[in-house]
Amino acid sequence: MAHRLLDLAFASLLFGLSIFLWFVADGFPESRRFAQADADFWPKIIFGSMAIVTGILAVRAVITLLNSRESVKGAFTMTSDFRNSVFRVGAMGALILAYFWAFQTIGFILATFAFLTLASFVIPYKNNLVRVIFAVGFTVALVLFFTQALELPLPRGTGIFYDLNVLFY
Amino acid sequence: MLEAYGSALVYLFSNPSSFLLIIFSVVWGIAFGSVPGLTGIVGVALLIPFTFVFDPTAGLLLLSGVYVGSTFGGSISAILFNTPGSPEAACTALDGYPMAKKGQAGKALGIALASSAIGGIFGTIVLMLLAPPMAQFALNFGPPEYFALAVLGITAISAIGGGSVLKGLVAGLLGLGIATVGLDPITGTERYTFGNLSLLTGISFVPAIIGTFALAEVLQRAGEKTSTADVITDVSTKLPSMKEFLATRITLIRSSTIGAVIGALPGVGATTAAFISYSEAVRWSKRPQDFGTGVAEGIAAPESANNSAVGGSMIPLLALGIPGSATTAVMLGGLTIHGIIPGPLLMETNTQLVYTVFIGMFIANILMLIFGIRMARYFALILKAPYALVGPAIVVLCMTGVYALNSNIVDVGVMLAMGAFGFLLRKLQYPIASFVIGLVLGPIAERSLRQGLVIADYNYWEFAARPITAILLLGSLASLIYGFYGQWKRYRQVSQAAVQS
Repeated sequence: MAHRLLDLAFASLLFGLSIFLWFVADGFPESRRFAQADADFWPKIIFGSMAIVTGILAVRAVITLLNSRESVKGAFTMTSDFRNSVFRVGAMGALILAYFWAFQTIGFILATFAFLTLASFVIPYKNNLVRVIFAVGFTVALVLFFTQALELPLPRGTGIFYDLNVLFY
Repeated sequence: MLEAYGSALVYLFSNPSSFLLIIFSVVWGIAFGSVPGLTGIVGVALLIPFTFVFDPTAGLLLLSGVYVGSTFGGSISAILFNTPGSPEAACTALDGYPMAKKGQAGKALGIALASSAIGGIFGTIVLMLLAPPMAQFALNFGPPEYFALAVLGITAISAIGGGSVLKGLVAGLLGLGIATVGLDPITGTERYTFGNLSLLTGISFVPAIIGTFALAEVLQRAGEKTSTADVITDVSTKLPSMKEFLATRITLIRSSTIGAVIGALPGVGATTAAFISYSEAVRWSKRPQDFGTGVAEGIAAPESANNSAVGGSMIPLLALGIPGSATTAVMLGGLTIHGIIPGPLLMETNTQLVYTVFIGMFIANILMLIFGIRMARYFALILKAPYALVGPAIVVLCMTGVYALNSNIVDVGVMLAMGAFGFLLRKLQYPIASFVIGLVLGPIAERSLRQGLVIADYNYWEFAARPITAILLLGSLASLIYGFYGQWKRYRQVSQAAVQS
């Protein structure tokens, strides 16, 4: 039931988005020279088609929901497995976003070490020593590979972290 | 021609170090291809300064070996971690990874390797025998032909995924829609940037692909109760048996041909070849619904096509001086630095260089079989490590690789956004393959359609009636009808079976 609702919500969202983007395309500046195949020509075809298909999908999802509502009463119960799964995905997503922020702010070395250590706790695994050794080893290996072997730049962060990272690469 | 080959062989055997160079370049290429974000382009670009140490022939041997190796290398991480090392390997992940999850990682790698070698050798033979006429043929391709070619790939969108046709269409249209972000290729108008300057160049393809596949996979695996890394236990790399291999022979022939032809077209390259071959493999399969679940043809088609495109893309480079792909564009720079100007005259005035490179590429494809097996074995050992370590390491590697490519943090942001989007699409059972095909072929289709219409003075009939365009468009239409007919027939069989039971 929850999946069907999500399906309906996504199809409806895309339907609305397609119509919005179609109108955005309609507002693109016009070029006299290419009037018959202007900047809006292709996006209008794409988003027009998408509005039609997602509209059909949304209507179909509503019909399916209406037909099956009797048989799925009480199907909203969340199992603990499902809750744990959502938590783990959320935690991993949050950590990746935090890593993205830290990547630019505190630089590659600290951000990567912290991310590797913390993210390894999201997926069940027992050996804490291996977690830390792996985080240190992998970070060092990547820094050496990118900065020394390939001479490609890695982010150094800002402020005091920049000065700190300059010492290493 | 025989005299030229004779002189090329004399050069190779009088310079045994050439063989060492080829071995080194293939291994270097495989390594670069397998690291997400780095790709063969970076591998070639980094080696250009080192080619100064050698004569131009040896330098070009080095660069072409990297190109051959990197095209296969991308499939290793695509199959083992659902993380395409290079864009041309994205299609390989669609069936390679499910096969690895079934405990057949070795077989998947073996099929990828053998198909790559066959495709690569086919492409090189085409290059050796047909370079001048193929280059002339490629010149017949104008915008209408490119559009028809893109349509050929796009029309397979609805057939891919095995599930809902409508969801396949939506996923494909989403890919086509996202590809419209940035500056309009014809008028330069800003589209869907909403004032964000970083989006002016559009959604970069490499970060988008890596996010859609790799990050979405890590999120998916994080949500699973037990790590499926335990399921992937077969980490040996073996070539498929002759019977298994013969079963894919038609796919191999078709895809290698598609790869060589598309590779020869300037500005298209191995990625497009892989996606169109995959689309065609789905379309002509008797069991299209099985694609995406780990079928051999799903690996053989893109791998043979993208490696065949390597030989193909050297045709316009050497015969016309026009790069056939991004990697050959970098190689063009390398050649120019050595004072070699590729073009029709090169084939006549510098025969030793040209024919030595042909033979070198042939040897590189054979060496790829030997070293590919060994390297894939080492990579496959990573599967034995717990996913709690491997998953976060993939995230780090992807972010670092994507960042290092252009030193652009926006690319990393694009990768993250596409990762979240890819995860959502998977959860809601929208086929990722259709989405990525839309993303790859969208820009080619739009630009070619609009350029073609301008050239034809907006006369649609004139646009579509050019011989190659008409053949390709009719082929698309016929195969679309064939695909829908097959789906309808399967639907009827299922309905009849349901009624009878």
